[in-house]
Amino acid sequence: MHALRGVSLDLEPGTVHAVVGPSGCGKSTLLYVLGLLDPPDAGSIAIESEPVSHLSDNELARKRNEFIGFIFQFHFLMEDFTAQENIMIPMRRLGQLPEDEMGERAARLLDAVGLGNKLSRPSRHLSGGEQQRVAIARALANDPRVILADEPTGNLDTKNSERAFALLQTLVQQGENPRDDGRPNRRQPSSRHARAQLLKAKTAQNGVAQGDNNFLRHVWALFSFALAGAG
Amino acid sequence: MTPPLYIALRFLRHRKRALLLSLSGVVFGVGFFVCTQAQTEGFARHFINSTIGSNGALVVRSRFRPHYESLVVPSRSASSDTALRAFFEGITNASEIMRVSRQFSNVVACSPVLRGTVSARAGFQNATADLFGIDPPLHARTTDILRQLIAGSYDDFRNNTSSLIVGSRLAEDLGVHTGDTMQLLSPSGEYWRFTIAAIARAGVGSIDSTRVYSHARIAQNLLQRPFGASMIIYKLRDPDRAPALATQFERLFQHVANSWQEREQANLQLFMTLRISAAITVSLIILLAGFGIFNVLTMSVLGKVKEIAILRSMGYRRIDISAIFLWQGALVAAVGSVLGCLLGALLTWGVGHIPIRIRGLLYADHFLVTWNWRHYFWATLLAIIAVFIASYVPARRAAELPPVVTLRGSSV
Repeated sequence: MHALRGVSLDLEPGTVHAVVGPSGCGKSTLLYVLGLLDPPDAGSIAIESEPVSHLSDNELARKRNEFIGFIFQFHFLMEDFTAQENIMIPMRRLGQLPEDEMGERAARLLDAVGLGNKLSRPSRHLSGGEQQRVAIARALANDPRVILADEPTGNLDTKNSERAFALLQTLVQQGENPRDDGRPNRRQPSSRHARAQLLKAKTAQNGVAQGDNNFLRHVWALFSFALAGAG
Repeated sequence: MTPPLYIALRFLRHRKRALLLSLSGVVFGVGFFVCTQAQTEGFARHFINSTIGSNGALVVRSRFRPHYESLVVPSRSASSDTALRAFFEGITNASEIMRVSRQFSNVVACSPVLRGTVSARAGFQNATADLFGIDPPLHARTTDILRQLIAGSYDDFRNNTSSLIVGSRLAEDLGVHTGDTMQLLSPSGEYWRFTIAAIARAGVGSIDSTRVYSHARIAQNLLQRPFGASMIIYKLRDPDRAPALATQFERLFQHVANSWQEREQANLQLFMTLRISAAITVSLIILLAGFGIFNVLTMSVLGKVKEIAILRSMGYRRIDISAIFLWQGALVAAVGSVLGCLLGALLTWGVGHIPIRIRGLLYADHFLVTWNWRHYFWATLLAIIAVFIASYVPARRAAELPPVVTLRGSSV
């Protein structure tokens, strides 16, 4: 079965893209292929002009850990861990920070998503909206080049959906640079711009919508959204 | 701490009931293994020590005529070199053999013994006795005879040539005590009277029920033997090397030499069979524990499919996922083995204090146990192997779970 046919994306740093379409049109497949979780049967993928399609499973895992941040419709937090520990899990795999610095960075990220007072709370004791905000903070844990969000607000009510969406944009707009490593701050599209793209995508019914944003330099984000009432 | 170990610890901490179930299987398996091995080896060790202490670690007995190779090549069906030997009862030149054999570093002491079977009588009771004619000072240095005395005095025996030391069960059978008179029947049909100077208990039924010690010269006269020693018994620094020394002695002295391993082969095989049987039985507990761990980890993998998928999406490799579940097994094996060894030591101590009257093959008033680090090593090794095999399959399965299927299944 062909999940993706003739999809060719050339995504530049500093751009935001939203894939919009009815259920079953291949949005998630595209994200998983781009996220190096699902190897394509044919074709190639490159990150920062480096081909990655031929890499081993271990190397792909390292790329995912280093370059990609995932946000899922269902938050997918580790239930046995606290909010802070959840954010530290990708950092532990990367292994670049000592324990205390990982904790501090996770605390700053949680603070940035408005959960600074719930560091030690087990993730299963957080509300749905809070869990998704922890998931957003976790996606940013390793300072990724790419954020892939698969219907990140699809499982939230309207209020929390608006809040999570706004948060994603606000975080990037305000800049999140906990490591202070001299790299330019990340930028993501303004709420207004993202909404403009969404509208543009909706107009196209399905397909890939691309917008340019002067704020984005080192990260691009790809969102997938199911069209309301479609499919 | 590696990320897989960290995650494994957290997974275990949040599955306390399953953890306790897995852990208890390993703890009891290891504990019982250690305890049963301590018991079976305890009885075997007691038997070995008693027989070596009474009969020596090595015995040189009958002289044989050396066999010289024929110039004619024998047929393939020809019998072996040993079968062609001609044997002559008794030791010739015992003092010279003892002088030479003392030069061997493994030899601590040696003692000549004139051995023969006699009929013993005390009052109206008769019994067959295994008479050991000994040189008291040499025999005391070579065997545990001094430690085995439960009544009387060795000095009384040494100073009185017409005295005997009698095995404890034989004394019971004849109803005699120290100071009593006992008669031994010579081959000429004449009864010789002796005073019982001491009673000895070796702890082995076959020795205690037949053994009588007399002075060698008296025994020679009583038994009417032309030679002064029918065997030489040896005390060795390393009894485990007795077979090699026996081979050397045979070649050197042209006398048959038997190690205690060869002499007690039948009994040792019996003890070994019991030990293996007990080990197999108790190993089943450890294997069952491994099966339990397999179930627990398999259920854990099934319950953590979502976590595995998210870990993979965050960059955790397949080997990391495997390691998470292997670490869980390893932690259960490590903690279970330590606790199991402690339980085993406790059980061994407890069993060693259970009063039980044993008056058969062995003489004991309580369970005989031995403390040997090898029991703990083998129990731990067995537990680790069982748990590793039990953990490997679920760990491998977890590593091979395709994350996309889980992520897609939950998000579409």
